Amino acid sequence: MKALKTILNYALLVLIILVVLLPFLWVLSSSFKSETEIMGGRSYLPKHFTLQNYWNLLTEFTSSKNYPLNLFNSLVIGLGTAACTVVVAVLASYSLSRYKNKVSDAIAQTLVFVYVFPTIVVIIPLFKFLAGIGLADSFFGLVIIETAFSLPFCIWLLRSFFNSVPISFEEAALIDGASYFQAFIKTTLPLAAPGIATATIYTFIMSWGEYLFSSIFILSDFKKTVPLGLATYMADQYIEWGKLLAGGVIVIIPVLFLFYPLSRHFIRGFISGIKE
Amino acid sequence: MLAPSLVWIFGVVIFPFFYAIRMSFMKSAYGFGTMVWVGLSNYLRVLGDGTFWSSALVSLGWLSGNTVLQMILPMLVALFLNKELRGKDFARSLILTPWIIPTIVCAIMWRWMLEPSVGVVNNLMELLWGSRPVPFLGSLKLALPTIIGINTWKFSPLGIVLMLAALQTIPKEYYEAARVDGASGWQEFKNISFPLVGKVVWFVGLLGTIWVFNVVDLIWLLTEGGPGSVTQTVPIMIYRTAFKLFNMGSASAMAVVVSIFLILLGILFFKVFRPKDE
Repeated sequence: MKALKTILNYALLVLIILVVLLPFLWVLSSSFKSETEIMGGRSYLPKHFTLQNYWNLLTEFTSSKNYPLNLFNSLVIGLGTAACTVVVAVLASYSLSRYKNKVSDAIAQTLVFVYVFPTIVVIIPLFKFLAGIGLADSFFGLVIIETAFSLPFCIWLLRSFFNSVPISFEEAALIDGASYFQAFIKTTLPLAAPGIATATIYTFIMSWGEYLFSSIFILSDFKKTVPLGLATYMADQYIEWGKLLAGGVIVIIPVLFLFYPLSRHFIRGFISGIKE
Repeated sequence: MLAPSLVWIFGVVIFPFFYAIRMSFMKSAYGFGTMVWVGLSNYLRVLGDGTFWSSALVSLGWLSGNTVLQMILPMLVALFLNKELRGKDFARSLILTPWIIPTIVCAIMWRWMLEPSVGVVNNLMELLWGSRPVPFLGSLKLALPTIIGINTWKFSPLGIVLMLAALQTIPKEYYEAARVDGASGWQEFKNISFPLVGKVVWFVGLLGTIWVFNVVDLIWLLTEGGPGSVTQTVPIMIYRTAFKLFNMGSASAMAVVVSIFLILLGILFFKVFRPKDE
């Protein structure tokens, strides 16, 4: 009876994982099929394994379609957003962690509102402002905006890491003659390193796949990010599925590679937010 | 040291919000040209527009469908996973995959699988019970339920993992004590699990409801609000009015109406549903 129950449990677990992962496997498998097999074949695994879709996608250079450039643009924006967010979030979360009073608690709680804030409400004025200061259609403008919306999660996450580092470590360093800044860099920062890595990667992933803001604020074809590039292919009258599927696989590889090792810490950020 | 964050959030979120309120009382000739004060006329136009109200109805359907599914489903899966199973941590990472992937990939994936003539879902349906191709995303009846299903597939994983994390903080002794007293599985859930994970369920509900309401990218990339306007939620209508029709005044007025609705919803969540800390 017990053995049966165990088997049933694992069967259910596998079922849940299949529901979640089968679409990915299907896309992966189809991306290695030839265009004719994609459009006509009913095979589950590619009959003739080919990298043609990937080659076609990565070597198509027209004014509106240039996937390698899309990837490069997304990389630049993602790194820029991650760098800004982490620096600003470290400063904020450190002070929220070390100076605990009513004001800092209130600020930490208010972040929930920013986190769930409807972006559609502010997107119109933001476009007007960016155009007003000459930052429409620029990576810099996009980085500024994406940073603001990544901050709440990163502040929660980092605050929970700083909370777990005893202040006595810093005090010891201060007694040894270190300055405040040195004490922070030498003792607390290294201990919060997993948190900083997670915040960086969270921000990068969010920015890498961001569609809504980019679709409004990026105007030039050569500044398009990956989601915009793929949306261009999807808007075609005759959709070339082979290229789209290959493009999708290329986008998620770095995401999964960065996410799986740190998924534990992601959950910690949310839990810390819930506790506020 | 808080200053940079506060300035950043103020500049990008709070100030623009108030500016949107101002814009809702104004009108401009060509989208972003000179703005003229027009009083309440944007509001009167929006509130007198049948399309707005039909979008509000779509939004309501979208919101309720998603909320029900995304509260119940994750709870069930989390309760099931809250056992001694090998490879559970690994499974948890895998389960989060749909949540972490970019929206565009989710849209490509499902449009491809639901494609009427070559999509795998229709092929399988034909193979299994010989049904004719169903245009899931292009059907007036099925489009909304389909995108609700896709959204649930994408966002339930986060709920599952958060609720699971909460369940795991409950000491095992509670359950053992309950079992000694002869409690049933349902009683265990009702008297131990649910009260203790209440705050997480509440948080998932709050996040989920507001996020779900505001989804633009996924719906836009799947259906652009179509066919007709059966999947045109209010945020989609705002997006279209502002950036395809370039009517900033009307779009801002709708955005303000949406904000008022969400604030009321938030108050409801905080005042009525929020579990007491014990």
